[in-house]
Amino acid sequence: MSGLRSNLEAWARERGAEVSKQIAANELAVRQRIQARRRTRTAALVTAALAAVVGVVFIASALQPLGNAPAADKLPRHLSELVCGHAWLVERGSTSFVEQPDYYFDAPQGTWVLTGADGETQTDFSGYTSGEATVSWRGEMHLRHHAIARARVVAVKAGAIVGVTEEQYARIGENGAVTLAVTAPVLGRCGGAASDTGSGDVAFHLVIQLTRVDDAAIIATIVDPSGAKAVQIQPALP
Amino acid sequence: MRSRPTILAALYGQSMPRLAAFACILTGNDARAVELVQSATVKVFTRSRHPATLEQAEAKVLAMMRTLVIDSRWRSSAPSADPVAAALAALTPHERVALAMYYWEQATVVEISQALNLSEHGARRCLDKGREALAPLLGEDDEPERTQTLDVRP
Repeated sequence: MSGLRSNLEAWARERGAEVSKQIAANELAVRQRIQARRRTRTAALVTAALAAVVGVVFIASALQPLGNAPAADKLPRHLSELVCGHAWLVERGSTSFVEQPDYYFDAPQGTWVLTGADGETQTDFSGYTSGEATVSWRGEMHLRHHAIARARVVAVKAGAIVGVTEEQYARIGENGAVTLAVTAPVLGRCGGAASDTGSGDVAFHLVIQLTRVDDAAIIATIVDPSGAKAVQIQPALP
Repeated sequence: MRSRPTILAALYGQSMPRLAAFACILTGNDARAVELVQSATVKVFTRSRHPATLEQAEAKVLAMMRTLVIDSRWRSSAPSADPVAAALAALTPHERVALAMYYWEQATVVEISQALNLSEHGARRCLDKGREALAPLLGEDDEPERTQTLDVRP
C-alpha cells in the first residue's frame, strides 16, 4: 500500500470520526429537512398535475370540443362552424342578420326523403340499413335580389355531430324558385376521418344559409325548416 | 424493500463515518464536510425513488456529494489549521473529487474521467495535481496506477 493512500485514508478516518459526530448531532434537523422538502415536492407535483389536467382540458376543449363541450348552442353564423365532434344544441328556427330578410327569400318548403338501393323513394320512414339507402332533404325556396342559398345536412348522434355534408348551394338570377336537394352525410366518416360506426339512433338536421351575391353578407340562417328527422340505422349486413 | 426512515437510520448508524471521511477529502474543511453530507443526504432521501438498501443509500449519497462538489458550490473553503485540510481546500473541486475517488473509492482513472466528464488525460492531470499537493504532507504514491476497480472498501 502506498504511503499517500494509507496516510490519506488514516487522515480522513480521523477527521471523519469527528465530523460524523457533528452530523449525528444534526440527525433530527436533517430528518425534518427531508420531510419538509418531500412535502414541498409533493405539493409541487400535485399542483403541476392539476395544472396539467386543467391545461389538457382547456386545450382539448379549444381544439376539438367533444360530447357536451360548448359548441353550436346557437344558430351558426357560418356553415363552416358545423364541425364533427361538436355538441349539437341548436334548436329549430331562423336567425336574420339583416333587416327585412324576407326581402330576399321566402321560407323554404320541403321534406326528408329516403332513397333505397333500387331507387325507390319514400317520405314516411323511421329507419334503414346502413349502406342500403340514403337520406336527403328535398325542397325549394324562393330567392330574390340575387340571394344565394347554401345548405348542409348535419347528422347528430347522442348529442354530438357525427357527420356533415359538404355545402350545397343554389341560386337564381334576380328572382325565382330554386330547388334544394341536400343529401345526408354517410356515417362512419367525418371530415375525412373515421368518426362513427355508421349505425344507431341518428337525427338529421338541415341548415340553410342565405347570402347576398354582391357582398357575400349573410342574410339569415335557417335550421330545420321542416323539422329534424330521427332515424334508426341498422348495422350493415355482413 | 426497507422503508425510508429505516434506511436513513441505518445510514446514520453505520455509514456516517465513511461518508464523513469522504466528505473531508472532498472539502478539506470539517464544517463544509458536515454541510456536504447533510445536503447530499437530504437530496437523496427527498427523491421519490429512495434507496432500497443501505448499500444503495451509501452509494447514492457518495455520488451526490461528488456532484455537489463538482457543481462548484463547494469551491471555496475557509482556511484550516490542519495542513492536509488546507492543502485539500486549496485544490480545485475536480482535483479533490479525483483524489477522493481514487484513494477512497478505489476508482480507476477511467471511472474518474467519466464522473468528472473529462478525458482520461484530464482526469489523470487532476489526480497528479492532487498528489503533488499532498505528497509533501502524506508521502509519495509509489503504487502503479490502477486500471481495475479494487474490491476493497475502507
